[in-house]
Amino acid sequence: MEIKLEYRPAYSMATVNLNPGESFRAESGAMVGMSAELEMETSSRTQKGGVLKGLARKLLTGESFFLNTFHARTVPGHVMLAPANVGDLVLHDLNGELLVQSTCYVGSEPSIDIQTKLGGFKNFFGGRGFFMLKAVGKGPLLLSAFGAILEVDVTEPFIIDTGHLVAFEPTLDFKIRRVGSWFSTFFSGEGLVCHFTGRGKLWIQSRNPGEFGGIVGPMLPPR
Amino acid sequence: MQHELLFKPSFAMAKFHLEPGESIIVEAGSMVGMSPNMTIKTSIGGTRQGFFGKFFNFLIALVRKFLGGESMFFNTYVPTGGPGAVWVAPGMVGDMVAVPLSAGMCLIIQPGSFVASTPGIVLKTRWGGLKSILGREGAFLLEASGDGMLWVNSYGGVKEIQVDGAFICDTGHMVCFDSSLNYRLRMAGKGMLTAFKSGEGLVFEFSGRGRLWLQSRNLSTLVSWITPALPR
Amino acid sequence: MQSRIELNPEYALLEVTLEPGEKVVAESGAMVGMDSHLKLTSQSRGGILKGLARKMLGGESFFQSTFEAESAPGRVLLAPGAPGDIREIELPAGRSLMLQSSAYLASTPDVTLDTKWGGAKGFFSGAGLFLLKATGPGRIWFNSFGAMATQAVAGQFVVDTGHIVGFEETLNYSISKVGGLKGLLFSGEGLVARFAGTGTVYVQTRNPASFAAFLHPFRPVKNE
Repeated sequence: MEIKLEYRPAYSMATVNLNPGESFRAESGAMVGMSAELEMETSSRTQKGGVLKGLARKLLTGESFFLNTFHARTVPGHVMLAPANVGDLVLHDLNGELLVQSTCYVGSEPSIDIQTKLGGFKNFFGGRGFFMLKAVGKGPLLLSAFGAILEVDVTEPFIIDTGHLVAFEPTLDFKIRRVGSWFSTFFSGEGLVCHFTGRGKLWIQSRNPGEFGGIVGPMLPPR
Repeated sequence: MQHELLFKPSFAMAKFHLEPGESIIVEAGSMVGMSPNMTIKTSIGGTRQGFFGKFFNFLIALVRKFLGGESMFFNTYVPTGGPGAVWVAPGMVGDMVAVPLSAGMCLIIQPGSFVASTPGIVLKTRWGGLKSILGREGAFLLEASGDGMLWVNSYGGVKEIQVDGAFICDTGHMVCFDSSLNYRLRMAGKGMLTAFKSGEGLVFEFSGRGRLWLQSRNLSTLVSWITPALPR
Repeated sequence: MQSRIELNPEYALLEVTLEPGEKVVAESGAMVGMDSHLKLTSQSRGGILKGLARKMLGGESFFQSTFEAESAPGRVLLAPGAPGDIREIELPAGRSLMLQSSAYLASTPDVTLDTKWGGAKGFFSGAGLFLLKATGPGRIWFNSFGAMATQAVAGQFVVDTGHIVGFEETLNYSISKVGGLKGLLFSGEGLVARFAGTGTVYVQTRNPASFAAFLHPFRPVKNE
């Protein structure tokens, strides 16, 4: 399996080249194109999920979590993947565990277990849910960012706006907090933040989907 | 204070590093990250003093927040007990530009484009009058003057035009301009019907000399572009 | 006439400089700025009624603006609604390019644009998106949502229809649903085009339907 990233950093797209017998799992809706020889299996379950859990996730966050698996059977083939929002992609070589913000998961090697660890919080002032996934295993993990991706080496405590979180290593401790008092939370527009302590790497995206949606959404026709 | 702009021109983000005693004013909702020793003080747009001044500011801010668009709430970040960092990015995708201002200069800014300024910059909300409402900029423009540095964002890329004569731009593509320029709201093309049909409904016509910063994308055209693809 | 594409590939901007007597036609709403003395007029494709009907269908109006330099040269700056790139191609006489309607940005007046071209039923699942047929001679500018990739097809190529910017008319294609019921319900599109033959397909690396699905929860709710 070989994964190539192109059109970085604004409109990144991944091309996954599969050898016969190999497979790749991706979030539904991420496929741009593929060679005709690949077989696409649509599945509404994560390994420990099941259809109902998938639906529940959709209701909580508006984000569907259905996965497609692409199989190369007897001949090699490739599939091109892209996320919904503009921005970059990062290919992480997973060996252990990583916590991933749900909207940032694009795809992974099928042996990697994706757990919907519900560290979820409804963002009271954005109406947009936020929950973390836990990726466990070994192999390539493809993540997207709304905007550019910045890798941060945390050595001292640091606070990150939750909407800008892409992923972080489990060696970091985190606490979800409101910024200041209720008054300042509402008027400061900052909502929820993630207070990180300990040591480890974290990845942030330079745009906040909730903020962006909050600007464009009200201008759209009502639903 | 140290400042740096990353990820230009696609999804620009600013990193500010403040020493004790320094501060930075930032548009509400644009914090990406900060060190835990930063304090945030929220204030409402405008520098009018006195009770009525503050009340007026509050009303303006509320009106703006619920009319949709730029909230006009500003956060002042101050580090306590040592230096601190704050990272800032606007809501819309695109670029950011740092514009130095010195005494005697004045910049008129589309409110959605303001990101941050140093304390020496005075920010005033200027009632744009009927002009601005029709221009779909919302009812207000922001006026910045003083000594210091200002950061503005563009939705899309930013293009600086040296106006020397007459230039027309679509209202949604205007980021900011030197106050030395005269501006007038106009219907594009001759006659109402042309303006409606052409989509270029309302435009700003600039005359005189000065700099004009344009953004290469426009919220209204984003909306009309994506609307056909929306689920019903 | 001189043209220049700037600020690409992220938020590409087209600058056209017109000599006296020259005209350029653009999608309505595409103007960023222009020298004041240029003449701006607008037309609707296929007569006023057809244009209005399409606008009421929800979205793509297909009105056009014509920019003309009369006695002095002038420049006009044009940009599309979507964030992404702009490409310019020279179409030889009689050769056609099929374009997804929102990908059309501008063209020289000699390019014929056919919006009534009916051969594309079922190409897009959203109302308001249709296929445009642009025939040369002339120059045409089109844009993408995201980056624009040029895919030379020699054999077969499968691509999600939301990712298609345009393709040469020499290609054959068939449309099929993918993912079954689940695909349509949850990912929005679920339609793929299978291209065969020889020709170029212009692919965009972002999909308006997925982006629309992301924005959907942020829309105001109708008061019942």
